[in-house]
Amino acid sequence: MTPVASPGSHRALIYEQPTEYVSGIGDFLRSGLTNEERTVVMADRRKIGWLHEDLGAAASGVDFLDAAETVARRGRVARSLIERLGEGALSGGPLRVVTEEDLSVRPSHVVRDYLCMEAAANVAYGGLPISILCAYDASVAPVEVISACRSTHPETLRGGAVQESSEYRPPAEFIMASSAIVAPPSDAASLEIEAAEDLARARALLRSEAASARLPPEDASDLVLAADEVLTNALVHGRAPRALHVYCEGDVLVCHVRDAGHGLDPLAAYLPPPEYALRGRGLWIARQTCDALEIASDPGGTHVRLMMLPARAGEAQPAGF
Amino acid sequence: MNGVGPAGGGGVTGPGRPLDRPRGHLCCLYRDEAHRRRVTATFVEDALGSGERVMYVSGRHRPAAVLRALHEDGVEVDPALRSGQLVVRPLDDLPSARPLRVDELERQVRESVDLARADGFPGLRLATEMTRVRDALGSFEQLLAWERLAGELRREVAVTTVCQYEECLLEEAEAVLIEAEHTGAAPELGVVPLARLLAVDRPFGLRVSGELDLSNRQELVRALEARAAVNPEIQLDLKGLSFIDVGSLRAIYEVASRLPEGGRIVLVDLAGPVRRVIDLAGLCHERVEIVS
Repeated sequence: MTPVASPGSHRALIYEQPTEYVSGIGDFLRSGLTNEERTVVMADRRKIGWLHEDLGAAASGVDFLDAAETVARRGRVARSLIERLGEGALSGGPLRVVTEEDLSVRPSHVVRDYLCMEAAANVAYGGLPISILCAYDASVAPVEVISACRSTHPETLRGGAVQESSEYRPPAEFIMASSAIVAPPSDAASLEIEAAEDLARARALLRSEAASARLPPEDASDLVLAADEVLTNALVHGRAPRALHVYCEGDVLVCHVRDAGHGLDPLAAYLPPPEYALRGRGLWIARQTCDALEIASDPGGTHVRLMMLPARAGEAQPAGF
Repeated sequence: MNGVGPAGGGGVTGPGRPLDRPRGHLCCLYRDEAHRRRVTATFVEDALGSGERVMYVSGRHRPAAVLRALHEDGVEVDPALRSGQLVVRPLDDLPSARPLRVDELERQVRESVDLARADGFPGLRLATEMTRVRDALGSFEQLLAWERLAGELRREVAVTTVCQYEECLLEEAEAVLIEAEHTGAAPELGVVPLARLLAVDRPFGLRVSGELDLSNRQELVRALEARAAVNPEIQLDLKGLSFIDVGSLRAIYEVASRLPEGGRIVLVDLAGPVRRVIDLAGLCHERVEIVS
């Protein structure tokens, strides 16, 4: 029955063969079930089938989530995971979680967001009785993703053995290093934001850009809300000059908010604000409504980028997690 | 700002800057009837956007004609008339001997401000056709004395006023003196406020349409508090609200949390985007009820 994850671990299972996946995840779940811990698995349907076969009757004690369905909920999964896991850990005793997303089919914006979320998980769940095992298929994942997974997990699991990751980096450092913030392109639709009265203009600009990018109405309305929250933050807490830039990167619609202030923690893009926090709630709204979100600073000030993917054919609309 | 390109999204329009909105002790020396109507419509629209009561004291124009003109100029007068948020009355209503005394006018304004608050409005906007006031006061000197006092009153009781003068009836020197007593000229841009905060009597409360954000959040709070001061059980009708930010939503909950025993805010007719913000923000309070 090895390895037994001690409460509060965040490990990566890097595998190439289905058998490695099944034995690694299977052992992890079995020790959780033996300890009467709650267990949650997010995987694609095929892998859920493998695990059912491996666990036999014990599989009925595991809460399986179809990754395809969860991924269809895009950026919103972040909130659900953090909130559910956080609450679950506090109220329902120790928790075991297995997650995997097929990043090979995701746009780079979402891959970066996912990896930064992995780094932030070390902060979000630090000290909580939650054991997370994140599966990475090295036979399909790009080399950079595997390398990043070693940097975002303190320990890795291979062939049943736990190894300390020598490449692990502090979450804030990882997030800052992976920032892809660049100057907005010259053809971006831009607006200077000087006062609260400019917010309506910003929303009108975004609505028209979202319509040009053929964003579904719900996504457009979510993006408008997220941008308004981030701009309001910039007006209330940031410093002039402030600006909104809207542009496309490939088929991803980017809403880029700049202000001359400093001191917005890049981790704030990935973590819920503390209960008592006066600021940061707007960012948390943005996190829930956008496909990807990042915060970075440069000598010119603070940048917040909100990203929305185009609608994909047949995509399920988000529902409660 | 470096790197900020030209404003994109050509043709994008938004609400006016604060300077475009009527505030203070304003005057309107109108050139013609169209000018006067634009100023009046802008003034009334802005009052309805702030939740305040707006009183139009008519002179040469009969109240029915004033209302008809407002309606033609796109102002939704009926609901505002029903709840008393819009009041149009002729100067002749003032029960006073002639010549009218300045202190009598002052008493009238103070009473109207008090009455507005007692009726659940956060403040009073006053538009007055001044030609008849001048006649009633009996002299230009008395008129000027009134304008000076009105300026002081404006600061003391926070009433916003537009004094309308027919430009052709003023001597040039008079016009200069009149203008000097005001904080500025009343705007006539037809700027539509971002939201409309309409008082409703049955059920008692407020009907909000348009958009609520950082720019008009304080007006929403003032309007809600003024309604709650009369009756702490408020229905907040949000059917026509197409956007609300989290801060404004939280402000509603904060007003609710300050209500006295038995007070509550009932949110009704929430549009999709408003519902979404409520879900995302995860707010809840025992004094806020949501009715679909």
